[in-house]
Amino acid sequence: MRDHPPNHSLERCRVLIAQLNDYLDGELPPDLCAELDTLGKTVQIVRTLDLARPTLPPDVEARLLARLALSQAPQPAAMSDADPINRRG
Amino acid sequence: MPGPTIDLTIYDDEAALLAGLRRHDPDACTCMVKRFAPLVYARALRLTGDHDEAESVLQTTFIKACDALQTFEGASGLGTWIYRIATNEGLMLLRRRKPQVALDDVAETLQPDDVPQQRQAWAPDPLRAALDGELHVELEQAIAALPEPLRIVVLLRDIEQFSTQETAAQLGLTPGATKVRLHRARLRLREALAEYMASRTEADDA
Repeated sequence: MRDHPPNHSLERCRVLIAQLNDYLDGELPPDLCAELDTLGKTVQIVRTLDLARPTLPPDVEARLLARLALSQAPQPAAMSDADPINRRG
Repeated sequence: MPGPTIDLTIYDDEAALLAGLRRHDPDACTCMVKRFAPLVYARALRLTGDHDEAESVLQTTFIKACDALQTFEGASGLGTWIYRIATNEGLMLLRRRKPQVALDDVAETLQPDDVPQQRQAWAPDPLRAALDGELHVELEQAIAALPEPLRIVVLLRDIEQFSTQETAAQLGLTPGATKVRLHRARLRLREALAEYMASRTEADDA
């Protein structure tokens, strides 16, 4: 973290409050308005990311099911084909 | 090799699915995997940025979930419970990595790379645009390109919808530091999407 003198932080705070007032009053310059609006749109878009139903690669699903079958089996067994770490070689 | 094909509707009801899992019905296990594993894997891949590590998180999550099913009380939905296990597994994996973190990436003030370069307005309907597959690809790439300390915060807050307090607790940060990292991450994502959104606006205007 970079340290700033207290006066610098206070001044920055005053500038931000003034800009917030300008935004609410519709007096903020268009480029700064666009900056805020596009930031809001970015947040909206990021929040929709999980709405696009992802797909699981078939081989990943098959290895998971094999691993679960082994883990639920009464006797432990070798599981090298189902283990992603062992698959790295 | 494709996974087994079964009728997923036999376990549409979550209580029935849970009962099937508890009596070790293989079809219930397959239903659980088909219903919840895609999102667990997608989130683990975003968190780790590595296919093998994401698969490791996926497998550990489901093994732990199956082991704990008998004690699952159902206070939250089964999916919510599984996704929480996955998030914890993913974060534990990242902690074990002990990454070399650049000071700029954890700074609590804006850094030169955070400062916006693009200040053009975007298309008016971002939610419609969000359904655009191309935009999702752009966004996934932009998230993957974020430095890890910023990426984790945006994933936990904006995608997994943890509160600021929960995110801060998960990462051992103050709420203030969490908010700063989130803001920096959002600024960088906005910048990464700006060029694509500008090209969409031009195409829509043409």
